Amino acid sequence: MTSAKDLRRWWPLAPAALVYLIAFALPASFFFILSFWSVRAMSIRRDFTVSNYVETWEKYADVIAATLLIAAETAVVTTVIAFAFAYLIRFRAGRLGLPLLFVTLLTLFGGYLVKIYAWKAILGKEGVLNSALLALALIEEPLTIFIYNSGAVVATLTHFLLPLAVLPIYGSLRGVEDDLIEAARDLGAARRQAFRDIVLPLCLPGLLTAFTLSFLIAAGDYVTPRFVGGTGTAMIGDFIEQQFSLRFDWPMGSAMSFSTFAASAVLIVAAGLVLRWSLRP
Amino acid sequence: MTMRVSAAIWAIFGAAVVLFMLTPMVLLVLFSFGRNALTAFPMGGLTLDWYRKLLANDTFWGAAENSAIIAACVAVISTVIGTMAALLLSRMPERVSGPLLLQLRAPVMLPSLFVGVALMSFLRLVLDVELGLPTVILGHLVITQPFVILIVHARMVGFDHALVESARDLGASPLQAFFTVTLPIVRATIVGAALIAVAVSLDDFIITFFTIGSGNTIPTLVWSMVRTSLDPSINASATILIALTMGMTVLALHFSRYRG
Amino acid sequence: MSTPGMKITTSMEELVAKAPWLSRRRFAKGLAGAGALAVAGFPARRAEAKTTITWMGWQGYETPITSGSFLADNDIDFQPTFIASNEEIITKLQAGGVGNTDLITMYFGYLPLMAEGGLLEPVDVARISAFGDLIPQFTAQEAIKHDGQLMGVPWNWGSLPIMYDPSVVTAPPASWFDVMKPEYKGKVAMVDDPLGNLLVWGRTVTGAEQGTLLSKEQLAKVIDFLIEVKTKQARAFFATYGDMADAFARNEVVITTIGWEAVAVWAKGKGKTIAYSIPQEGTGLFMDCLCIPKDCPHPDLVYSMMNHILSPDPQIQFATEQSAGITNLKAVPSLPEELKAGYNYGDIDGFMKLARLFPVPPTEAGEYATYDDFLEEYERLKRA
Repeated sequence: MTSAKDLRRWWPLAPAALVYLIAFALPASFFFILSFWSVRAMSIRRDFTVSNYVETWEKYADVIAATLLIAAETAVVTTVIAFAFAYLIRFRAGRLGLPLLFVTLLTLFGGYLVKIYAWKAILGKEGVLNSALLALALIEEPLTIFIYNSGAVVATLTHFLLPLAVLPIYGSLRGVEDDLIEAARDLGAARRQAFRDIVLPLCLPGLLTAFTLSFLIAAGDYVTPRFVGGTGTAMIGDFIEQQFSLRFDWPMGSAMSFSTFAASAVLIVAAGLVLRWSLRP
Repeated sequence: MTMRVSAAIWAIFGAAVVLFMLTPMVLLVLFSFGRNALTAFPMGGLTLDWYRKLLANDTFWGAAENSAIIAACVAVISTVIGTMAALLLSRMPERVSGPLLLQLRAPVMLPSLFVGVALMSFLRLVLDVELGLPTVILGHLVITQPFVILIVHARMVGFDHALVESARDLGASPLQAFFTVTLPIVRATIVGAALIAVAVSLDDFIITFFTIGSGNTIPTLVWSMVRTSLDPSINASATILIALTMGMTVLALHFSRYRG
Repeated sequence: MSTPGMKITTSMEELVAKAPWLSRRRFAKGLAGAGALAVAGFPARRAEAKTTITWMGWQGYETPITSGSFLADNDIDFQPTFIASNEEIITKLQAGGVGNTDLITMYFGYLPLMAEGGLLEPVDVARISAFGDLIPQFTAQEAIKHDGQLMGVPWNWGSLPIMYDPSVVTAPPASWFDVMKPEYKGKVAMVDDPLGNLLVWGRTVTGAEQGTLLSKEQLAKVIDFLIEVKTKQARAFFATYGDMADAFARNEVVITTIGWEAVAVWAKGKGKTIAYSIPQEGTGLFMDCLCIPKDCPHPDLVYSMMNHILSPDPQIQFATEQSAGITNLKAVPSLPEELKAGYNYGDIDGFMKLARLFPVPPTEAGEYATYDDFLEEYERLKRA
């Protein structure tokens, strides 16, 4: 039996919950129902069918897998670099920490699309990277392998996601009081042990957040591959877009979106379990 | 490993990451001053023409105004309600907060295309609401909220709630306790979360495209220029954005009284 | 190490001393300020007596509207929404954009789809003053009519020529199949334009009279060929024509499987000269139409706007800026020479033998593969 006081305790959650409900839960629920309908001759038929999901599995399973693979690669690379960098800022950089943090925050801004074009200027055949390598006499001719492939997609996405990953991890690390580590050292723990048994477990939430956010954003992104990806980097978002527009098939688009959602969820939970298990004290 | 070697490795690593992060940003800004309409070297001399072109464009000013209003509202609202939610969630046992957090992540787990179309359809076809800046703000809130909540929550997990308890014992109301005890400690994280909310809002063009009704924001304008292949005036707009947000970041870091 | 209790009390005092600036009052003020800012922003637009006209189309396509004093004369607050693909307009209209969009410009090929989907208002020909001056071969096309009513007014056009870098490809390519030449390996540009690709390659691969009316087997052959190009010869599968122009300027590609005259203009702007021509197999012609979305809020102003777009001066300005073809024959004499020659206004019929106006694949299943069948096959290309 919940008393009035119990319910009142939940009020700080109310505004966020309201936004979530109106702007997301309700529309998404409607589209979830939609995903079980079908389209015949341009109009939606409200019969219940799982054919959309079956079709998604049959036709797009490989695309979803490829998308999640790129997303996972990106997320791993981003989280590892972000963690090391956050660690550097928090524990090693001393006074340089502030400028480093500033650089990180700076990289957050400027605009997603403009940054993609900056990467084209770096990775292209006549780009900055090739020019630098030529100037250093490391290569004789410009290399075309830097752009228009999945590597370029991972690099560009990592650059975009790094600030988003550094900040939560850094936040977690700030919660690790210097006192704690001191105490552990006092008690005879080696530096590495103190790190592994105290620091890592405490920043687990931050690590998970960073990995999750990087993974999800990368998985939903289909614009970056369009510009720096080559001929084999089509991501599922591309196909979902076609369903919503040209093909007039919203039920199918919904089914594909939710399927990707489910697959992503599985992967994230798995990643979380792996992280937790490997970081157990 | 000796102290020296380890310090050197850290230094090299730090420098490499900074190089990685800054090179595109530097290029972005640099190209906005180049005469060459192609954002590449050689730049062909320096000029402010792209800035002049941008600032003379009425559509740009309209877009800038919209972006500013949306970002400001989203920053304030999502930080406030996100922090409130995160604080509450961090005091709950894992088995309660876990599933809730997973739920709250959902808007970021679905492609923004889906969120945009679903929201627009719901607003127009079900609620029959006029589209405009408020609906864009709503759309942005739903995708920035998860960031704020997750980031603040991650910070709060290690937080010693006993501090707050003591303050309450000493007679402080919950709000007072927050402002005097919690906030100073987690200030930096909240500020960071707010900045991320601004960045996400300023960057979004997909959800904005569907929920704005008419008019543009800076990213939708840039997105449209993609078809006519982007001349450096978008670099100019990006540089202006960076300058403004840099100023914001400096203020934010000052507010949070960064201390190593 | 101090005891926890002491730590708390002393730190509380410190904290209170340090954080007076963030008192509850100041915080509330800040919120109110932000709220006021937000509220102030909204009515600002409505306060003016101007009528807001919403338009959707490509960036650059709005210049006829903004040219001259039309907007000022009619007290219009012009709100353009720029798109990166025709599909975006369709999605937005479907998701509830109907009822608050006034005017759109749409590729003629999608008109039947949209008309059938109930997204368009018929155009009252009598209210289009320049209608009689428009290129008759275009206005007579069946594709822009639905149930006997006109659904869009053609206002600009062009073709899909092969684009090439004359410094590398020294002579205009004789055939579209030149893209398979070994010396172009890794340097071919493709664009993700579903219908565009069919317009070029439908007839080229199958030899069919109407390149877009094919059987499923023929369709598969077209896609098979394009997949071969994509996997063996292409540098990238570009998202937009603008991106392709950018790639030319960066010397990443030298020849293309599809094209648009405007690409040469953009590349020139970036310092790269490219050329284009129509190979022996011919290509498709495209038309963009002005269409009125269903439940248009301001029909009278929209008709005035359409008449303004179609009048000679705005048409000439547009043609020169975009290197585009225009439809108002009265404006043609005043065009610069190269544009007149390039678009062959003197012999439109002759031009249309090389660059054909193919119909769009049907929506109903029957003798030919449907539009949906085509998109289904096209996805194979995207996945490759």
